Amino acid sequence: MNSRRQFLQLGAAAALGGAATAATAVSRSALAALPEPVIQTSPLTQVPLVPNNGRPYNPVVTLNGWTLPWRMKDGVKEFHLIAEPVVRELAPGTRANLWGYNGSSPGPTIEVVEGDKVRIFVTNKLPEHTAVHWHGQRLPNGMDGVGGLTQPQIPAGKTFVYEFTARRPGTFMYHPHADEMVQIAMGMFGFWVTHPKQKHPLIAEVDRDFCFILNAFDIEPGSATPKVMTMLEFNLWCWNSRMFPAIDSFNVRQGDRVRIRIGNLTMTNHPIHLHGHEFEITGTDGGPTPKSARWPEITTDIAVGQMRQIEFIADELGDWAIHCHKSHHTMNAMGHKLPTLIGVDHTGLAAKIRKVVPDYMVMGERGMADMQEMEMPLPENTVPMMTDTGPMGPLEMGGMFSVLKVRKEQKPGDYSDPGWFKHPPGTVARQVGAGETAMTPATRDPGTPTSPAGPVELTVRKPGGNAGHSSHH
Amino acid sequence: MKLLVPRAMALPMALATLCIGVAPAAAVAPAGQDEAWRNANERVAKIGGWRTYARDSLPNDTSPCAIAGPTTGETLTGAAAMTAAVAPRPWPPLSWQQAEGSSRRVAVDGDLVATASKARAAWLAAVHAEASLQLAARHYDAVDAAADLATRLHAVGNLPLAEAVHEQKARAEAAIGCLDAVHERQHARWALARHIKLDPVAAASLRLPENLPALPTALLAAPRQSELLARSNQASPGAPLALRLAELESTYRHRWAVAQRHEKEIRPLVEKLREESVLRYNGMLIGPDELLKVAREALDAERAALAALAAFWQADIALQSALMGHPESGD
Repeated sequence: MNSRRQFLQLGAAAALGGAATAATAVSRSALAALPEPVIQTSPLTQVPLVPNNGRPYNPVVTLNGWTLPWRMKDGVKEFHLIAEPVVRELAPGTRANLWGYNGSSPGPTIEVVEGDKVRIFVTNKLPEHTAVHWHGQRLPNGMDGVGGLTQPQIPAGKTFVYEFTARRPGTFMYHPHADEMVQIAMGMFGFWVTHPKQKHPLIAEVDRDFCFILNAFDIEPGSATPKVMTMLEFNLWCWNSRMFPAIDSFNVRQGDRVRIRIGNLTMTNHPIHLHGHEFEITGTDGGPTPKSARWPEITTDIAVGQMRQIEFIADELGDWAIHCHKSHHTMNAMGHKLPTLIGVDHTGLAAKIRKVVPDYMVMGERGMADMQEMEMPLPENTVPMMTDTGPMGPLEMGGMFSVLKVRKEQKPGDYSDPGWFKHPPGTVARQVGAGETAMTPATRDPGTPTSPAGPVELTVRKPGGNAGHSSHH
Repeated sequence: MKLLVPRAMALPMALATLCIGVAPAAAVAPAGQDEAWRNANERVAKIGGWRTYARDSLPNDTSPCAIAGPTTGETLTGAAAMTAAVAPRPWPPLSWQQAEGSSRRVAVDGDLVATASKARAAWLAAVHAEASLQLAARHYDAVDAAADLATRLHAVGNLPLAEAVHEQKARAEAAIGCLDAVHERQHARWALARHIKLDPVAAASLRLPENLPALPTALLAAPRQSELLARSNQASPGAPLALRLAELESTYRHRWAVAQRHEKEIRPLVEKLREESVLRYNGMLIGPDELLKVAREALDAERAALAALAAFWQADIALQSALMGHPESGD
């Protein structure tokens, strides 16, 4: 792990050393025993954190994120969150000015085991007060983290401590409940997983356990800081503050039981769709779902503030898309007031516009795909609306899109990217060759009753060699 | 009524609408709609996109700003115009020092100074009109492109008629602007010809610079206002002139400062806006309509800069004339 400061394991000397560092950030000498804060600024998926104390469990993999190490003190797991300004690479070419935790947005994932006593120090390095709400947890009311309601706000520069027992296993989040609209819009949130303390009839043991949060920013192309007063018109659709092509792939072994835990902290719903497999919702934010309530699906809608666990057996080899099915959520920043140019012949017009704007190039009259091919300069700090090239050509995607890579040879515990899938011969869609038999095209006008006397035009076209659009007739 | 449009004719029809302004309803009427739509898609597919359009050439439309101007002969500079106006006497050097005794010379040289100043003002107005016409032509080009685009968008069904008509109205208004600018140019040229006593043939072939002289980097070496006012307080016969000089010099300095801000500050900012609009267009953050709108706004800024520069040179003429003892000519 590329920590700025390596987490110091338990030990009196180490604890004191940590205290010396932490004490500079907080004013209260009573907090001299704070665990050394761990900072991570890399936006890449970090290897799962295997527990070396407490009850054992199979750790999760945080997509483009990491898990916060803890210190075990007198049987209590102690974590230290630092709420602070961070700069996050949303995708190469776009770095956002955000607020986050411990060097990153999202904050680190917190992993504990059902029944664990947990103590979380929260140091506020933001310019304003904050509070942390432990979304979905059963806990004493005063630990719920609603600033002004269940606790005083954590002032800038101060450290508060939360203490509770992780009572039920499941999938959770944490996020501010202070100036909440602004602080979430700025990127403050993190995942929380409570593993079952023993075999649970409704919680399967899985081979790969991924988690990520759906989040959105409104960052004007050419700028770096989110517009915090935006209500619905967000323009950057992220998974863990990353957008395609910078979201890592889900790399699994054929036959693995895979769990993906997804939380939604955007301001709209997201129908998450997986290709090539059927999954079940094995848990919600309320806990594991009864088996009788599970059914096979390929898309599940995740509402605002909700969490879903999907599970499936990854038995089909290949590179399978997984994405939000709102198609504009698989685009990066774009304008919304452009006229549709499809079908508009620009002959004679292109030169006219160029006379006024010399650098103008015609785009959009055949659809938008030209944009990726043209690769023209964009405003600073802006990722193209559609981008990236796959093994078969331009991918023309952005935002909430990634790939599930199912491979025979992916070893257990190996989360590295195996590269593009090598398709068995004869299993890839291809252009129809000359001399191959094509199906007879249907008649064009569905409104005309089919009658031997009617004006039905049946056109049989010989398969042509050159043009893709020749099948229109 | 069913209007049958042969497929091969559909696009030429759409293009023909550009000439008359409003697209006929038949272009998007339900009758041939499916065929027209297929046809439009097929056509842009065949053309092959941006690579082909990168070699596109201008149609032979004639702009209402077009003029059949003289193409040969020497360009008449401001100095030459003044020389012509006051020939055979050379123009005296223009400095404050020489203006010291100018109030005494005014009775002698008054006509000369007035004639030269008026010639200079006429030359300035003519060159200003020349440059204004160029800007009007560029404005028309931008509005024409936008109207052409909107008309074509409407013709394939991508834009409501009202929006296309809105752009067509802007083009018609720009055409009136062209007529005015063409007339203004001709008017100013005749006035100049009159001032420098050109015969009609010479006037018709008169060539002028395309732009006003650039803003001088340094101001005229004139006495400070306080000095001028002090002189006016001496109750000497020169007092009214000194007051007038102070007034003209203040205007001169003010207009120089304004013109300089246009040149040094607004021009680069507008250029930056134009560059950014292209980048935003590239990223599909704005459309070509918006791109042309930014180009129009940039032209508005150029027009304001030109007006500020012309105003400065007018103040320059007035001040120089006053420094030579003739405070009213050229103002």
